[in-house]
Amino acid sequence: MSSSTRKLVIRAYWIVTLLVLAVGVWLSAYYAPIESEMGVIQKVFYFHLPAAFCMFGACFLVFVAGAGYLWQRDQRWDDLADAAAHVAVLLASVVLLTGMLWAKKAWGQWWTWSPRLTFSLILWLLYVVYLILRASIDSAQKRAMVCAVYGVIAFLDVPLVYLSVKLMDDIHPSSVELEPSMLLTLIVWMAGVALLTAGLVAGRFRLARISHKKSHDASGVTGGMA
Amino acid sequence: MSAESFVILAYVIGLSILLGDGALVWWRLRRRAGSDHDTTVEDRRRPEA
Repeated sequence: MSSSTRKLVIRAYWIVTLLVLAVGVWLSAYYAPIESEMGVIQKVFYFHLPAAFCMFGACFLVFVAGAGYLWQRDQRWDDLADAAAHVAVLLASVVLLTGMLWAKKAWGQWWTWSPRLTFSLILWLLYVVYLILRASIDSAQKRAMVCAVYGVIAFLDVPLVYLSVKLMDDIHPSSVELEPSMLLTLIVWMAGVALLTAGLVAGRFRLARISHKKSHDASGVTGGMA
Repeated sequence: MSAESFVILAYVIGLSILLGDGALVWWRLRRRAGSDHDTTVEDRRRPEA
């Protein structure tokens, strides 16, 4: 694929993503009905749930990339894990913040130490620590190895977040019944946030590849000069 | 604050974080592409100098 075609495809991708998100905003504002029990605050759900699912997806990608690096020792796996971890932290922040705003109106408090909220906060902390760990190790090979092991272990918290409402008493509902118009709004938001997540991971992956290639070239030049 | 304000705040904060990161990555990629271009031009000049 030529450079100009590639640029065109990337531009089209981002235009479609923004359009889907704009349609999602319109649907949640004007099309989806106001839920009878919670009222208008329930509309946070259309953004909160897709962000949570995409957060799980990004964490899974860190896990897969970590396992891939341990298996093949290929730097591209480490770059992918780096990109996915950044996006996982962003999505976890969105999930926690939108959840807190929802909780304040629905339950009258910003935070409760229920199992799902606690495991979600732990998840956010785990991936923030992952990024700090990455930044604190200078050797590329050592960093990739340590972060791969950490990324695989950190993923253990994801099933705990997901299953916490099913296995333990929690303030979250374990299942949700949706009207067709609510379901359509949710599907559009799922598509929009998934496209946005994939675009962010792809962009950060490309950035990591370029940085890695540059540092590799720079070290090659230094070696050659020495 | 009304419930509507909370909903709008949730959407604005969430989308700002995600789209803001997208804009940051796009800007950094453009800057990298620019510096690559500069390097190429510099490399081209070097043998002539």
